[in-house]
Amino acid sequence: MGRYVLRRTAQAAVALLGVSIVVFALIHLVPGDPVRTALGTRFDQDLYDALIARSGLDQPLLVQYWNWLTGALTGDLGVSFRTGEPITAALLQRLPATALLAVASLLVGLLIALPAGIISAVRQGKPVDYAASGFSQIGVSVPDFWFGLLLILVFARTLGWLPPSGYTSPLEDPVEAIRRLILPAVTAGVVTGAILTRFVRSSVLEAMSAEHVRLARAKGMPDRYILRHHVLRNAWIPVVTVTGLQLATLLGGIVVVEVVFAWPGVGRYALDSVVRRDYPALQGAVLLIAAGFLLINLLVDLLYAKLDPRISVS
Amino acid sequence: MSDDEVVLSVRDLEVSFGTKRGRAQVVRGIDYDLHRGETLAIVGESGSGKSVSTLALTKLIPIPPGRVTGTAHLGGDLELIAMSEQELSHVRGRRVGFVFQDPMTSLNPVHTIGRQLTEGMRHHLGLSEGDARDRAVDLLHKVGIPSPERRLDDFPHQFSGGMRQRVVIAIGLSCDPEVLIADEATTALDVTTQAQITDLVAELQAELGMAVIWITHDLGVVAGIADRVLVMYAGEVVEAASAEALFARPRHPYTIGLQASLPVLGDVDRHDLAAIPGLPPAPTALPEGCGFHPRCSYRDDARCATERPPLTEVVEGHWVRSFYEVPAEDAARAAAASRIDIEPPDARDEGVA
Repeated sequence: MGRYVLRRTAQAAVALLGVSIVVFALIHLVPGDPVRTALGTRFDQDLYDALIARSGLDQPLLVQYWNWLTGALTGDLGVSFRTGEPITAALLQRLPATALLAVASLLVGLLIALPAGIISAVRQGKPVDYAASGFSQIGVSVPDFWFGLLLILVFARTLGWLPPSGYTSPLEDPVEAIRRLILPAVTAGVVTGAILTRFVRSSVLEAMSAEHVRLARAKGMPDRYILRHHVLRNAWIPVVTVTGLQLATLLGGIVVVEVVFAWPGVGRYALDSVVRRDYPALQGAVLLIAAGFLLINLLVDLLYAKLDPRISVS
Repeated sequence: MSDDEVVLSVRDLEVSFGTKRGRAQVVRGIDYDLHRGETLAIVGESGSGKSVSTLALTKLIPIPPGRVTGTAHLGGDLELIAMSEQELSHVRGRRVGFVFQDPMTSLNPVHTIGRQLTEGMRHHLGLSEGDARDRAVDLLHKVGIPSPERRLDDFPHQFSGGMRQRVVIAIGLSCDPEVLIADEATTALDVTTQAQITDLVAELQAELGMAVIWITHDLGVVAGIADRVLVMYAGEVVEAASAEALFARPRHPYTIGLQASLPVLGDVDRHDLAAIPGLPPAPTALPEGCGFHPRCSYRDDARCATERPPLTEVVEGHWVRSFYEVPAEDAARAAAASRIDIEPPDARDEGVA
């Protein structure tokens, strides 16, 4: 087990290094001049040259990459072109909001997907199965910005039950924080739930068709016991993987929901950085999201080894 | 090996499945009595209904689309076919144990074998965890697993195929069933392991006195272990006799075909194995008359094609479902023909030239 953890951690570190290269290269390949964009109409050649020199953009790409990488390793992601603030601090300030929204959305998704997926597998071909398939079809197809706006319209404007947008830290005011969290979490959670429902259903169906389930029936074990200990216990293994991937996707891909609900998260920061060609800020944001993705995958793999006794040995 | 006490008495057992192409008649009325301590072999090709006929006894087939009729009395008065799911759950595993074909898939990979071995005993016999574990150690010892105390907390992937099948047998025996049903229990194993497993079941049977139904497509397996044999074809019993009588003198054309397809080591008179021509009928499109007549090489006349032959007792204890019993000399010739060819290559070349 110890060696497995060590090996997977080393793999994740190598992957992160690869990600840093790709992020850096992609952003520098994209046309557009960040300094020119930052200066806008106040363009002045001397000022431009000075800014380029100060931000190190006149140096060879390899040197730039090296400086960025060594900085990132010590936790210094540089300074934003746009705001002049340190990027690490800006990201760390936004990270809790994104993490809170991602975890809340995942919880909403699981609250939908686990019962819906399990029931529709157990009642395969029955009306409840078709209802769950219908939900998941709709949930996957509906665009999240539209669904978010619809929720704002109904629950904030018409009914006035919940605030339409914004973020409050749960440390400051837990009640208000939850009230503000509900609509964005439901928006992202329904889509996640729709994806996971299908997955849970097919995993449970596959686990039910296993030969050892037939033997458990032949042993005379009660149906409920079989469902819990021989079907669901085995179905969890793939479900945990996909749930981890969904969480990672939520961490990085929740941009649209953050924009719709004016949520001050990492996604919105990344989007603003793209619009302003704020290279270092964008690099930092993407690197942070990728690191989160890898970390979650690492945790999922370790959990996987706990769930499936065959993994740790091989 | 067997005594007179009947532990399982099956009458008019029919199993069918609703399909898009109509009702599939998979088992078409079979009868047998299983005595205490006896080994009954049910032999036939895939699709002959041999497995389904035993799975259906405790409704281990999906119902619907499956439908089971007839009666099956267990231990005298307990009638299984009319039982509710609730009542059957006290029969399965407790009074009728099962061993399935593939030991690689019939154990749950995420639970220890101790857990899988004890869960049935705890459920059916109400044993405490400690008592169930003690009994599990005894069982593993009985089925020949070395140092069972240590292996109890191992997972299935830490065992070889043959060892896993021993564990599955231990599970089947764990609640002292009256009947153990072994459904192709050696088919997935290599030949030496097969022999070990059949020997093991025979030993355990002698020790514990349960009756065994051994389902197989392999007449070779049957020869060593069965007291009595039912040969099934297209959902019917076509021949039933003691193993001795059946091997000494098969009487149904299908049984003779099966026997002729057995390889025999060291025979040089034959170049290839005899195969029965054609395929078994689909259960949705059973032929009129005798189920076997389209493939029968012995006799095929108008009566075979229109009238279903009854299962008739031709000699005491020897039942055959055919209008034309194969005469002794033909049966002997077929048996003599069933020899495998292992002549040296040069001799074969001459033969071809």
